[in-house]
Amino acid sequence: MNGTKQQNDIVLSIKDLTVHYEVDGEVVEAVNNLSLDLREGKVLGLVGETGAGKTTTALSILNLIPFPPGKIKSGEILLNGKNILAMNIAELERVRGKDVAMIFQDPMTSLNPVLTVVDQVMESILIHETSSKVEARERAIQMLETVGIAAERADEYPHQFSGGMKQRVVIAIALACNSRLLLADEPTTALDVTIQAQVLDLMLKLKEQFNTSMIFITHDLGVVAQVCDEVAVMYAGRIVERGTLEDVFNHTKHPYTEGLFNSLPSIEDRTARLRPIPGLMPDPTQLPLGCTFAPRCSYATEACINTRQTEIGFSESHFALCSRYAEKNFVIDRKEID
Amino acid sequence: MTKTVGASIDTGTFTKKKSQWVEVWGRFKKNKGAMIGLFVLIILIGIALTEGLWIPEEKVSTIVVADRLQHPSRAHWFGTDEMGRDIFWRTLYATRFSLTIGFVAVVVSAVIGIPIGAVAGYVGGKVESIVMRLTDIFSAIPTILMAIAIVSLLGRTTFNLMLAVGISSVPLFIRVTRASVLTVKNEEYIEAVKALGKSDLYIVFRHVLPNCLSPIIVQVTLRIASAIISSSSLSFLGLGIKPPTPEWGALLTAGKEYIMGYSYMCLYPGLAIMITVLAFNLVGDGLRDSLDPKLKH
Repeated sequence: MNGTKQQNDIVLSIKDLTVHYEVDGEVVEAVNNLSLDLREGKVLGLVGETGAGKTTTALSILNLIPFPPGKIKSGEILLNGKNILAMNIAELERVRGKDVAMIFQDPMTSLNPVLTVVDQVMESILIHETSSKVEARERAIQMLETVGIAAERADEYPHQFSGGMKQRVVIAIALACNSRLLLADEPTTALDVTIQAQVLDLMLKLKEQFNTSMIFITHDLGVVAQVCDEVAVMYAGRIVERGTLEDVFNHTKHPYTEGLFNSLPSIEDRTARLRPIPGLMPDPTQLPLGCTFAPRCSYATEACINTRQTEIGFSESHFALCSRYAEKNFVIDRKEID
Repeated sequence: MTKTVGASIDTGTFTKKKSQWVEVWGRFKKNKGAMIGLFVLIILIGIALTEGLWIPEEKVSTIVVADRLQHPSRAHWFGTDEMGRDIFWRTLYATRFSLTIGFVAVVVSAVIGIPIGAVAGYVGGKVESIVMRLTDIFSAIPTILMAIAIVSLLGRTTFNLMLAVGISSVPLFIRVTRASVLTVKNEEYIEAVKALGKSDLYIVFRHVLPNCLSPIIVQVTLRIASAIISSSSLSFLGLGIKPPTPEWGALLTAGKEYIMGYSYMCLYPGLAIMITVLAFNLVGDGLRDSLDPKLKH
């Protein structure tokens, strides 16, 4: 835990992370120059459409990018002040599951079908905390009860559980070692809405209980509003806007974020037409030099397409990657809600 | 596995209280051929395990020259061989040797082949290419030829016979294991346990291999059958079990000189081999269908 003092309560700090996938001579720029900080006990929502690089970012934090074809080109990921990308395998194995835990997207496939659930919860405790099987089992059962699974069912197999229960088992596994940082990769996408609400409530409750920081990956803005303290919007491997929930939701700055909100149906005005963002995400093997969103952006100018974008700050916490804000009177259409 | 617990608390969903193996057995039971095969196998294994208790030793090995080359009769159900030994008892007594050879040979090849295949499949890259190319070269040599070479190299003992038959089917186990490891290693739960900080070796043996078991189990049953055939062929060629010990292949060899006049000497050991192999194959096929119900539909 050295180095945490001067960085006060920052749990995770990613600096200038670039991840590429190299397939058949083509380079897929999955994540480009991504930087973000996460403070203790906070939940950061990582939002963006499929292929924006959200999962790649999360896997980089565990240094689990499949190589080949994936390769972390540059950057630093400081976890409690230590650079994950510089660690050897033994150190990484100590960090994974203990300091950072991950919840995967699909509970149906992220449990091993041939092991009982209690065995799977026990595993990480046995690896990181204690060598006594009896104690590990006891703690595993406790953990299962914390997520609402009765002790009698601990010795059953995953196929005997419903989807929501499986996701709770996955959460129990992730939380078994009281990790300081939890990466939740679309933990509720595979669940229906009622179960989703249960799982979210549970995650928030546990977050309070263990004071865990969390990166919450999703493409559901409603979930973000419910769960997150801070939001980072990703587009084509870059964070285009980041700030507190209030900043991003009520004082939207980036045209892409605006587009995301405009394409949500409104409850108040049911006759209102959705305004989807025209076009498609750019081919990640041929990203434009300038703003990656420019081809779809209604505010784009010639300069947007040809020059590299720089991040512009609006407050201490609120940033957007849009150089049009260099112009004095530039505003986007979306009305600020106060 | 069948203890009853009240309905699950939160979700109230109905959950099945059946373990995976109970379901597999349920499907296996419906397969008539497989059940017949299993029945035959149980009898054969029963004979092999208990034959020392009830088969009189003197009936198997005592030479009675006066009774030589008799056709099947009430006294000698399957007839007698050229030295007057009762073929019925000898065939029955040979069950133990033939089955043991089959089992041990498969254990040898599984113990060598499965870990190699698992590591090759999981690690991938250069290790995999090298292992698989060596396997290809290895399996380009005909099984019997290779077994003959190994037996003549190591000497003609029962154990070497098993070793030879076992080694020659190692490539098959490497292939089967690698193929199923390749599908399992990309499953999300493997990624999930990696994210928990487990070493690769642990993941291979605790998480990957148990999920590859079904094709391996099927392969084991089928290979026992062909190991019995291989060892019988070796015995038939005179490289297997030494003559006084009864073994189906050896009994066939002994009978082949008299096949024109006394064909029953070959018939019964041959039938024994056929029935055993058929039973193993039926069980193997049945297991394949019940372990992977998707295959049938």
